[in-house]
Amino acid sequence: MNTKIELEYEGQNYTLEYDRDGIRMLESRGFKLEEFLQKPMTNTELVFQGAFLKNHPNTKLTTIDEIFKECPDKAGLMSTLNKMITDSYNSLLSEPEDDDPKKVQWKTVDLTPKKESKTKE
Amino acid sequence: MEDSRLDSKEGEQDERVESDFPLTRLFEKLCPIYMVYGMTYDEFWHGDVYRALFYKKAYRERMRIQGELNDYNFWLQGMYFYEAVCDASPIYHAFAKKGTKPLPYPDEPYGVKHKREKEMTEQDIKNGRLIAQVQFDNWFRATKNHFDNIGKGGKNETEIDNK
Repeated sequence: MNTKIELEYEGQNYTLEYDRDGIRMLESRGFKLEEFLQKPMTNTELVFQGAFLKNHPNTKLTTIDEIFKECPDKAGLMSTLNKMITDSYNSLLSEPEDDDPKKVQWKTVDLTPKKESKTKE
Repeated sequence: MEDSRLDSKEGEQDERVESDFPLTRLFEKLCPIYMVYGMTYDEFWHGDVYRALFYKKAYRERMRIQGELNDYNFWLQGMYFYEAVCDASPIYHAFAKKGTKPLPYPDEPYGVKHKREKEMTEQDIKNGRLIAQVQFDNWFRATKNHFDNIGKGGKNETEIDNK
């Protein structure tokens, strides 16, 4: 269910994903969510490092930096990491889908008077 | 040397421990709530982030089922109270005759009695089927013998019908 990034570097497979403890560590190292949401290309290396904390916590920072430099489409990568971080708190705040048929459904009804068009013969 | 932290009022120590980081603060605030939902501490901090959604849904479903079960139990208890009062009612009558006794209270719970009646009914059906099968087999054998005898030149039909 988690969004993951899988990559291979120098024969080794890496699975990048976030958990809440990793995001807590990111914040303690200076990550600011508001800045990242407004300017996704800030703190890119820090955010990328944070994605290794869950599954590859012992990976050297130099290796992570090399992998980051080799990654193509950095904008797409940052967008995906952005989604992964927002998932960490959206999953706590969003409501599960309700299958209750009694759930209230609403729709807008347009009651504005409509002008009748007079056709000239 | 006195520790000034020991003199703090209730709540102040919690405020000092609260994180300055918004996401961390949110997670720390919601962690106990999700532990009530059934999530473990490790699952909340180190597990897949979307597990939280399922734990929340499972908790709400559990509460709904528990509510229905409680409702049934309270209804059942009301039934027992009602039965007890009704069974005892003859002796509460102001002009009851001497020697009036209350009706007997059921020997066993409603569920056990219903289950036993259901089991007996199924056994009765099985017995009925066996009896029907035996009767059918007997009739079939008798009819077969009758027509076999006719075929071999035994007693004719009119003699058998007269009997």
